[in-house]
Amino acid sequence: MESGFISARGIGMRFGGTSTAQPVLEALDLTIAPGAFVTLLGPSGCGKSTLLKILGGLLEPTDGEVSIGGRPPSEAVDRRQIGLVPQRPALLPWKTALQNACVLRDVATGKGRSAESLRAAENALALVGLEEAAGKLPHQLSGGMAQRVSIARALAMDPEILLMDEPFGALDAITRDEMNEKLAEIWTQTGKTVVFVTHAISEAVFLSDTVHVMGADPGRLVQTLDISLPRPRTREVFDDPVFTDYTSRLRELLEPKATV
Amino acid sequence: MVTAAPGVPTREHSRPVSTTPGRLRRWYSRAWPSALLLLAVLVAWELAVALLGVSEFVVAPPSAFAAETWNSRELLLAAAWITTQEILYGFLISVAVGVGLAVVIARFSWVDRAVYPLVVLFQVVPKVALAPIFILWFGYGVTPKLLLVVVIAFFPITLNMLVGLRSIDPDLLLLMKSVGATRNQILARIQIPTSLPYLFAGMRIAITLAVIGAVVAEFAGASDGLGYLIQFASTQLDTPLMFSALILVSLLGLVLYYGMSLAEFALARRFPHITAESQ
Repeated sequence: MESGFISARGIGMRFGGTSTAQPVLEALDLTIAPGAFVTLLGPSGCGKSTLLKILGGLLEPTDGEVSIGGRPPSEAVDRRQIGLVPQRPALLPWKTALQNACVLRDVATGKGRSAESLRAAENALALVGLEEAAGKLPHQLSGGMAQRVSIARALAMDPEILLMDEPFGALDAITRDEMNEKLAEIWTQTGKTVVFVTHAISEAVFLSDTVHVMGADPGRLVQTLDISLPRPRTREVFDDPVFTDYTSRLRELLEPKATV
Repeated sequence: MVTAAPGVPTREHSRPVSTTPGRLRRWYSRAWPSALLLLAVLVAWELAVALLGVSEFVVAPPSAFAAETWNSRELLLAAAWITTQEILYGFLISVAVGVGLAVVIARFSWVDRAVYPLVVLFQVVPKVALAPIFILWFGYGVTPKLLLVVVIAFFPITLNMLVGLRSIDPDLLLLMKSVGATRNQILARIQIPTSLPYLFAGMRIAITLAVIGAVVAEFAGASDGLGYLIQFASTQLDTPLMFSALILVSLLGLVLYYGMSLAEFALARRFPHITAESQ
């Protein structure tokens, strides 16, 4: 189990159910070690978000099997192992940051709001550096802050796996760099297994232990690249020649025709 | 605070929240031009009736029905009270029926398939034409009035609430599924609160329809109420009384409509998205 915490075998996905439809994903194998930070990197429409949902048991693949810790992913959902961070924060506009951070935990436990869930949400907000904003409503938060509440909402459940679907895609470049540093810090502190989806190359290199490069039509794995940059990583790493070496290799993999 | 590069939208500003005094002032400054115009129309009306020598049986001048309103104030107020009760109770039942129906339709797909087409089909029936039937079945009491109010007013509530219940954010739905939420949990925690602004939009339409329902039901057969009074005055050729009752019923509609807006503001303290989305 240690070698393959999340394991996917022969994953294929077609929407619409007809066998003639162009597959979104085809014959895809993937293994993710526990505690690893893994990125699915690929162009738009390569099915990386679909793969993320399949890995978390939120979508049933047409072919193949996923197991999480040796069990079907639906059990992982039931046992609160999956913490999802979608592309947009999707906060409830009538609830404060703290109440929003409680929501998933409360639904997952099936009990109402308890002192325990409030404490978990408070800790999660502190972890993302937002304890000051606990009483604010979503419309009073900036885009970066709202996305941090979204991360806290997932962390408050203390899941084993964080699934992050382009969580910083809508943020401006500077906020995005800040969020990446924060996420690297959170990952170091909590030791969660993170599966992160992005189409930004430098973000993928900065955050990951392993980058899986995906191609489109049909969605498939092109190559897997281990990133052996030292941790903890700060923004100085952007100027490291090893870092730029990784980014240029990934860029070539993503745009094979544009080789210089 | 970070500053974004030129051309990159920064989202570090929080949106201003408009305050109630601000709203009142805005409402006030918007209201006075129409008030002035209304006054001008009344003056022109008064002058026209006097100068053109129109018979008071046809069109009563404002001064005549102002005097009539004052002289018959007890009669009018008693009638208005009866009609107000019919409207309010009918409206409350409409909200209960409308919301209940929408929730059941959104929750159970077989209800959606079986009931929803019939509800829409029912809308082609001219509801006003049901009034005599309800009188036939339930007599001259309050029941046919409430019934007519409900059949007229529930539909916009159901329709709007249903749109609200179905406007659930797909990301939010996925989040709820990622923790194994049940349909009922999603309904109670996400769908119903999300649909509140839609519900209020529907209720604002429904309250004006409820006034129509009550008056029409009184036309069809009643022994009291403003609708009855209008019809009674018409048989007596008492045009000023007709106008007085007509104006009173319009005022009633206006007060109820703004009462709805007031309730909406009150609830917006707890659910800020109600007004945030309608702005």
